[in-house]
This record gives sequence, C-alpha cells and structure tokens, in this order.
Amino acid sequence: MSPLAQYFPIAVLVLFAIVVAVFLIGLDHFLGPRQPNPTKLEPYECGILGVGTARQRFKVGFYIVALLFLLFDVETVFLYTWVVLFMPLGLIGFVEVALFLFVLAVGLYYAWRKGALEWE
Amino acid sequence: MIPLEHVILLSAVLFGIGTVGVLIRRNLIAIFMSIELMLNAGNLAFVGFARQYAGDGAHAVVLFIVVLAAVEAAVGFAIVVAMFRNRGTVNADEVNLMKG
Amino acid sequence: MPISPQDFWCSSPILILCGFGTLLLIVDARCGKGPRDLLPIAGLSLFGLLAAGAAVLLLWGEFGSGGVAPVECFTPMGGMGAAIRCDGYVLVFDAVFLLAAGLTCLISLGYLERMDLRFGEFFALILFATAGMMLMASAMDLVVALLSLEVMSIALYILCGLARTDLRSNESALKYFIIGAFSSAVLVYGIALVYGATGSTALPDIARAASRIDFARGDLLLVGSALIVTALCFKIAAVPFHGWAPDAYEGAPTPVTAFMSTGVKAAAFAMFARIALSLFASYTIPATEVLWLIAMLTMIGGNLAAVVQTNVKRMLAYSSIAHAGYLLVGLVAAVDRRQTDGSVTVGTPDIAFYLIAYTLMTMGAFAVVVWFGRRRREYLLIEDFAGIGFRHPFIAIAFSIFLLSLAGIPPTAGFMAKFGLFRSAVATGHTDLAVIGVLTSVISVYYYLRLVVLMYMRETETGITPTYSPATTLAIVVSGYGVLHLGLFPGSLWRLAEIGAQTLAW
Repeated sequence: MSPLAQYFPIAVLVLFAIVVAVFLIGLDHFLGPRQPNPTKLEPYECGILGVGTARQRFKVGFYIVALLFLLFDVETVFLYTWVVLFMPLGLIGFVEVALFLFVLAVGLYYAWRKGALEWE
Repeated sequence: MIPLEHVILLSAVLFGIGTVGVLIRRNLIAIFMSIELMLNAGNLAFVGFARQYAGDGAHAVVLFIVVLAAVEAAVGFAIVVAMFRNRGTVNADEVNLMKG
Repeated sequence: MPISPQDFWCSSPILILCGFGTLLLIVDARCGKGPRDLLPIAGLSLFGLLAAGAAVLLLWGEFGSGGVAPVECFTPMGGMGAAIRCDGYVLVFDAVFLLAAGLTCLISLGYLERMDLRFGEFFALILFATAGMMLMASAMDLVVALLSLEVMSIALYILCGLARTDLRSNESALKYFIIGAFSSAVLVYGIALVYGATGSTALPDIARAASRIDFARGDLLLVGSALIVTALCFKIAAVPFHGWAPDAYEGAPTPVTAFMSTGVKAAAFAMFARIALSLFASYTIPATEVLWLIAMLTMIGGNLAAVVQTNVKRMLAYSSIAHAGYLLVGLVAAVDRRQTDGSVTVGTPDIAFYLIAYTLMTMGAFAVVVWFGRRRREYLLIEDFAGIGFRHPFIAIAFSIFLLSLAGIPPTAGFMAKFGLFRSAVATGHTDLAVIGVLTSVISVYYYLRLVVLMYMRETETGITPTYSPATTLAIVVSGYGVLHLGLFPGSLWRLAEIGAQTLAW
C-alpha cells in the first residue's frame, strides 16, 4: 500500500462527517417551520436568563488562578512517568520525586504567602 | 504505519505556521499561541524521530518540552497581565516606548 | 550506574545555588507581602554565592588543573549520554557567573531600596539564573542545554519586568520574553532535527555521527544546525538577530541590565562554544563561513549603532552587541581549528579570558551608572555625565578605566582580552576578521572616549548629588582593581583559561 493510500479511511471519514452535517442541517432548514420570537432567539444557557454581554473582560484574578493551575497541573506530568518506572528506579527515584514535590510545595507556600490565592 | 517523512513534513508545516504567526500577528496572546505551536512542532518531530531510532530517552524529551511550554506560558501571561494593568492593551504594535 | 555520590560533588556549585535560592524564597515568603528590609536577604544570597565559589575552588583543585580526568555526571538509564560534565572549562565559566552575580547583588542592594523595588525575590531569581548559567556551561546534552537555558531565561524575564508599575520595565520584559520564547522554540526544532540526523542528543555522539553522515541525513543536520545557531545568535544578540537587545537592556532595572549583558552573554557563549565544537567537529557543514559573516556583521553593526546613542544604558547595550562580535571571532577560530585537527584549545581560552575581562569592565560601567542615581531617579543621558570629573574625581577615574577597557586601550583588561582573540584569529588564517575587529574597535574608541571627554572637559553648575551606597562603591572598586590587574598581569588568569580549555576535549 502506498503511503498516501493509508490515509484513505481518514479522507472517507472526513467526507462522511461533512455530508452528514450538511444533510441534517439542510433537512432542518427546508422542512422545519420557523416562527422566531425574542425568547427563542436568546442563547441557550441551561434555562437561565442571560445577563449583560458575553464580551466583557474577566477579572485579573482569574488569570492568576489560571496561571497557578497551569503550572501545578502540568508539573504532575513527571509523576506519571515516575509511576511507570517506580520499581526499577527504586529509592533514588523516590527521593528525587520527593525533592521535586518539595520544590513545588515551596512554590505553593510562596504563592500563598504572597497572597496569590486570595480573591481580592 | 505512517512514514517518517509525513510526520516531519507535518511538523515542518506547523513550525512554519507558528513562525509566520509570530511575525505577522499583532495580538500578544496570538503571538504566544504561535510560539506554542512552534514548540509542539518540535515535539512532533521528536516523537517521529524517536520512533525511528527506538530510543527511550527522546520520548521523555517531549514531556520536558511540554512543561517548558507551560512555564513559558505562565511567565508570559504574567508579563502581559502586568502590562495590561498599566497600559490597557495587548497589541504588540502599541508597545513602543523605546526606539532607535 | 544511575547516580553516584561523585555526581553530586561535581555539581555541588549548582546544587548550592539552587538550595540557597529556594531558601531565599522561603525566607522572603515568610515576611509576607509588602516591602521589606533587603539587607539580610542580600547577605544570605552573597553567602550562597561565596559557598558556591568555595565549591568551585575545591573542584578546580581536583579537576581543573587537569590532574584528574573530567567527569561526566548524571548519566541516565536508557542509553542517553551524560547530562552534565565537570571540567576546567566549566569551572572557569562558573567563576565568571559567580563574579557577575556577586557584583550584581552588590550594586542592586542600594538600587532596589532607592527605586522602591524592595522585592526579596530579586536575589532568589539571581541565584536561580546563575544556577541555570552553570548548567548551560556544563551541559553535555542538547536537551539539558535547552532546559538550563530556560532556567536562566525565565528567571531573567521576571527580573526584567521587576518594576511592575514602570511601563519601560514591562516593555523590556515583554520584548525579551517574546524573543526568548521564540528563539527557544527555534532551538527545540533544531535539536529535534539534529536528533533526527544523528540519532542522539548527546554532544559527543553528535560529534561522532556528524563526521560520518550520509548525504540525505546531512541535509537534516544542516537545517538543524542552522536553527540551533540562529537560536543561539538571538541569545547572544548577534546582528542581524539583535533587534530586541537595546530595548530589553534599556527598560530593565539597571543591575538586571548589567547581569544580562555579562552573565547571560558568558553563559550563552560557553554553551555556544561547546555545541558548535560538537556540531561542526568535521567539515560536513560550512560553519566557519556562516559564523564569519555573523561575526563581521555583529562587530560592524553594533559599533556603528552605538555611535549615535544618547542614552548610556542603550549605548552600553549596543557596545555589548559589538563585544559579542569580537567573541564570535574567537569562536570562528575555535571551530576552524577544530575542523582542521580536532583540537579545541585554540580560541576557547581567549573566549573565556575575554568574558572574565568583559564581565569586570561592563559590571564596573553599570555600577557607575547605578552609583549616579538618586531616589526614584536615574541619570542615563550622556549629557548627565558632563563635568563629573571635577565633582566626583574617584568615580570618574574608575568610569574612565572601564570605558578605556571596553574600547580596548592598554594597560587594561580589555586590551589583553582583545589581543588574545585577534591573535587566535590570525593564527587560524582569519586575518580579515582581526582587521575588521581592530577597525571597529577604533570606531568604538569614539563613543567611549566621548563620555570620558564629557566628564573632564565640560564643567557644569548643576551637578548630580548621588545617594551614597557603600555596596555599589565596593563593586566599583572590585571591578576597577580587576580590570587593571588583568591588564597589567594577565599571565596567571590566562594560564587558568588555557588549562581550562585543555580539559575541554571530549
């Protein structure tokens, strides 16, 4: 099989997805009756009425929480690899990871004391 | 099995898109996203080559680069937030106090 | 063998710095928010730097003198090469980084208090950045090099933006960050391609594979090396990749600018030399020609742009670009000799010596700029320095020494350092580069001496009355002594750099 031919199933899948989507939306468009009123045109928010505009700015506090989350979340990636090799790495691996977690804890302590976790 | 050439070609295209993005986008957030794209293009190339050489180490490199990207993003956004507080813009062209 | 006690002993300077940096963060966090007394934190950081310096001295006694073979440390399981290496070359550079960090701590103490930047994190970040620099110098694997580069850079992005409410500091941090992140992305891709071409990220393996590479892989190696060189040229601010440097240098707090233009440059060159000598160990790639071009452009571009500056910090920024050009001359010589007979002892000791001299004289010049500041006010225009030769004669003499040294006039360290570099260039047949280097140095005499002339030739009534800071004065005295000592008696340090370069071979 030539390299490009290997992608044929993916091409079929993409084509199929497009056809189905266009067909269903088109069917709805042609067959469904349309009687719009203001309530119907509102964005659906789980039944709760929308307040204000969606294009407002977020409080800066959100970004700081997001930054902290990003850092501490991604660092756990190293823990997964450690778990996979837990037995062969033995005590040295454990000590290394403990040290790593200690450094992370220092970072958390620092963020805490500096008030990064407070919501103004 | 996807041949190596395709993986590398895709990563090169992603790298190119990222580079062009850094050069032409003026929104700082968009510039950061382009840089992330470049880093991930590097990741993809690494994974592709690593499969060819069957080395264990090169797969781990990807994890390091992912963490590196996250750390860079955190610092970058912190800088942008500090700047936005002072200046109220995230447009790269308006950051031009110093010239020459 | 995963990890042995010797690995820890060989990396002890780095570990000490990381430990003290973490300790400083805890101490600083214990004080909570708000301004604090910086003296204990600065004292602790200086103590940490001294401890690391003691470790470097002890290690030099063991590995630096060449009595014991260099040690490869932290070889991971799974067939990858050693992470870092302890040899004389690394230790010489470690000393440069410690010198730069120590002087930065000294000049920043008064500065931070004066400018209402009482952040304890400053010193922790300096220590982390220094640890990153040491790792950069000792990295034996491209991935370790990348990570250590990031350790250093990320600390520096934050240091640049330390003055959070100052728009210029914001802008400096932003520009430095964008270019830094961009260049590390380029570096990542370059490393990936080099790995694809050679099947390894370890520098010795790359050097071996590059010498017997087939044509198809050669292209991959060529593109990968080009990307790596581009990324490193961004880091050392070589023309035409220098656009960010003047803005980043001008906007950053002055001690940070000093640290950036000395420590970062030294670290980037230590890493650049090691990587270039591995990638270009054989004739596979026309590396010397490209480096030759970049060196020439950097020397000419940096010096010409410095002539028209009116801001001292900006002028020193362009001058630091120009000095990167001189250093590249040494690198061209080193790579050339490496390709001819595989030796690494030409050019590399000159780069090390130059960086020691350059660190001393640039730190001194920035220390003088810091010395002339007042509360929430800095005097950065060249005009501001008019007539200080009459009012502050001692500082003016010190400043003149630093500027003459930067211009490369004997009997200062700058002259000896430049002499070494150009001698190596001539020895490897790059007389043209040496000639361009000398000619551009003549241009540089103009803008350095303009400041000296202004200090002594023009009297002004309204003078600056600086806020006195003993630590800054100490930094000026130390750098001034170093510059003169290296200019008059360069022999012992020269020998040290040569011994260091001899242990560089792998």
